Amino acid sequence: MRLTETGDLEGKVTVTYTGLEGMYQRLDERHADDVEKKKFLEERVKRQVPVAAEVELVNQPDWTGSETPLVAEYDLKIPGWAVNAGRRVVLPAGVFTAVEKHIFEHANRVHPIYFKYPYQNEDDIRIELPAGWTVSSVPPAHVQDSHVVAYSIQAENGKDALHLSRKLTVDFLILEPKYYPALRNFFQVVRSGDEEQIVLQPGVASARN
Amino acid sequence: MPATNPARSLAVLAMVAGAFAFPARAHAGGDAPAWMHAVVNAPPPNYDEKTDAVLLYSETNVTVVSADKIKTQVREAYKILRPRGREHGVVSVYFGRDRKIKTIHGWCIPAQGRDYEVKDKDAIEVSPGMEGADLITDAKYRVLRIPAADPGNIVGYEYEFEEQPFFLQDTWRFQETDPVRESHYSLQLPPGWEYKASWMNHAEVKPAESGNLAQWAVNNVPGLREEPEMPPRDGVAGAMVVTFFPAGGALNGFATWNDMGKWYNSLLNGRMESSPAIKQQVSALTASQGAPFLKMQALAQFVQRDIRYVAIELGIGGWQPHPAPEVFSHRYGDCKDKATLLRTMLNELGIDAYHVVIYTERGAITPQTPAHHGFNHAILAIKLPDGVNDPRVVATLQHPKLGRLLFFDPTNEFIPFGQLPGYLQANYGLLVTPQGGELVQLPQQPSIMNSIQRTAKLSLDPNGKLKGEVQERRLGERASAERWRLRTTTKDSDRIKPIEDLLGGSLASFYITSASLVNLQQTEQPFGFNYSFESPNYAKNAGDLILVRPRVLGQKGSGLLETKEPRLFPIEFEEPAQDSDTFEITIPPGYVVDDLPPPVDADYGFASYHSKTVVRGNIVDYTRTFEVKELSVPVAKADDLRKFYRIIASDERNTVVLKPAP
Repeated sequence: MRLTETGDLEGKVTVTYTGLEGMYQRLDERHADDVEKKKFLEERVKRQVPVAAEVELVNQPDWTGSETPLVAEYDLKIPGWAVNAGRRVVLPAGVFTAVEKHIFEHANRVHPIYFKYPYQNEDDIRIELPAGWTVSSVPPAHVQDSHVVAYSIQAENGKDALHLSRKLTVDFLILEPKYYPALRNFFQVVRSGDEEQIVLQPGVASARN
Repeated sequence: MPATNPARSLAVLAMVAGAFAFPARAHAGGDAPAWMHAVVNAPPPNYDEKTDAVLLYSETNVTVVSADKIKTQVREAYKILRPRGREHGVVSVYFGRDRKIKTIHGWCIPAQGRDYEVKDKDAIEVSPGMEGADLITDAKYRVLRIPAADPGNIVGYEYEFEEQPFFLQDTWRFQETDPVRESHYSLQLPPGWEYKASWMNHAEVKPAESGNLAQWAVNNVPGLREEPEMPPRDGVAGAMVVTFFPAGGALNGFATWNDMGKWYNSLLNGRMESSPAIKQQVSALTASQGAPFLKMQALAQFVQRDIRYVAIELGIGGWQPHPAPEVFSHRYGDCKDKATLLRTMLNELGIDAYHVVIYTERGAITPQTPAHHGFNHAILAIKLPDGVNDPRVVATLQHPKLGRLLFFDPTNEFIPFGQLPGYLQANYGLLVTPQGGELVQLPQQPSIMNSIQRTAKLSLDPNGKLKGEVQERRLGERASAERWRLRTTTKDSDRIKPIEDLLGGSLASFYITSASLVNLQQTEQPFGFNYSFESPNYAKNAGDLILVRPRVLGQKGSGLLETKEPRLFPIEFEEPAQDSDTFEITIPPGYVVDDLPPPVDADYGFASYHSKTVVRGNIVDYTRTFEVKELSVPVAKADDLRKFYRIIASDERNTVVLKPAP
């Protein structure tokens, strides 16, 4: 992806849905036509970005396979993804994080926690910076392994580009309510890690404000 | 009051969904009629790839036999283009005590193979439901499922019904979600009768007339695709209202709003006669109240809170309220029943009031709308006694003949007496008096009366934990919404859920350390949340810097217009609003502010947003105001609204940078 001088994040995104993630989408959309399937996939990506985004599916995924992953390719633009901090510009370490933003907000839980199936989400994002911009700091890597749930996020400063990686694993089907506080804590750590900030220093000529 | 068009009400949608549970029985040899086959190869109207179906042909033939007997025949044929268009394979026809279905048939002409047919005996009957309310009605629907309603196929149906009308008027709604190739409407009147046709949201089309038969047709009518926050469908969809007049004069026909007011007023006759029990209740409620405002308020609150909302709408009961003594003794009623009881109780104090019938979405009725039954709600206009100058009386109108009127909705449990909920503000309603009806615009309240005022005193520690106290005061709809949400909660753990939701919307992690509600039951007072919280890792370390988002809570930005589709309809706000946040954040010892985000001043006329972050010693002060000033944003300004929301979204994520003190 590419960060513009106005703070927009735009570029190509490939999402590969494997296993049950792919199967259920194929199942849900088996009676839909191409227009509806396209909208379905685009909405799914929009729901994963925590701010308003423009998403366009650009390939024709294989909706009929059962052995192969469902691969969707998009053009994505997130207006105003990087924001002002006076002379600096900052952007969060996590991009496709919206689903976890509002999970398990309430402190009390009555019923067991049930997931339809165990799953793992893995993000691998390369962001090119505007010419002349430099990375002032990246947050430290976060790793949280809580046995049945695990999370890691890392931002690396490469040459002219940032490399963001994030992995979230939910490896259970049902949890008793007594584990809810620990699970809630875990997702608070996830959210906190997703919101870690990368600090950029715009070039002199292009500094905003 | 019933929905404007029962055949298209929400109740029907719920019912139709259930109708899929019964199988369609196809009949061999049931060829579709010639009128359907005639359109099989007809060129469709203009449509795009997102169109679910096109209405190839529609025909409504109305025959007025007499003032109490009207026959109607309907024929429609859709070509299904996409899977979602299958819904046209289910036809639902409303019937009841005063409306009998004579015949109903459905057919499918598949792209390949023989036609299918379903008949009256294949249909089922269902009762409507009303989500979120108790409704008892004698109205039912006959539902017929047409087989093979698949993309590429054509489905059609024909039904006839006979009705004894409550009023001599019909509405031809020829524009719908799907594009229409051709739609026809004919009106056959008895000798000597006359009609008046009025058009809504469409240029007038002249009819072909022959004797007492008039025929209209429209072609290539574009579909109306739903957009979020668009005006109500009745405010944008093309339709024709046709009113019939018997020979020798008007009889339940509404050429004007005044006529409709007279008709509605006639339904109120005898409904507001008091009873000893009502008189006693009025005395009990008002005896200890001094000022007239307080007496009226006491009666209003009684009807708001002690009369449960239950709609029993049998026959004319969809339009006519029950007698006030019945409503009082049962302690239940619908909107018009509540209005009638409150009016009766006010009359006991010598205070006049008038029914106002209205639609609960602004924009369905405007001064350009022809007189017709476009209403679904009833409220009151109370003639204020001289000398009532209480500042809480806001929703008033100075009427040239009736004097100062206060509009009030007794069905809304949470609206303070003297104010109007957002959906009624600046809306048009029919003021019904013994002299007739008059379309009036209800007042729009100042934006500050619908408000969230949030103040927080917070402190940040070197590890990034933010903690402190927040006070919120909510007014108007902002208060009513929370009271409605909390109306059935009893446990403290449930009562803090709105606060958890609020914090969860803005904070990655948080713990509420104390929380309380203010004036949950006292609807005349501002509603409030007071709470304290801690948010670990709120501030982020970046080397030796600390990054802090000064907009701690609340979100005003919206992705409403973040779409590539061009906007077709104005964007409607439910009510004016004015919110403010004031956050005071004490920074950790040993740190100073290195950088602040810029102030934001965005004023687009219809709305404004201002924010400012300043440093005061070791405190960062963030203040912002958000105001909705106009209730509708025209399409031409949709881009401005999108920019406005982007500016807000950007400000909400802006950051203060702290560095170690030198």
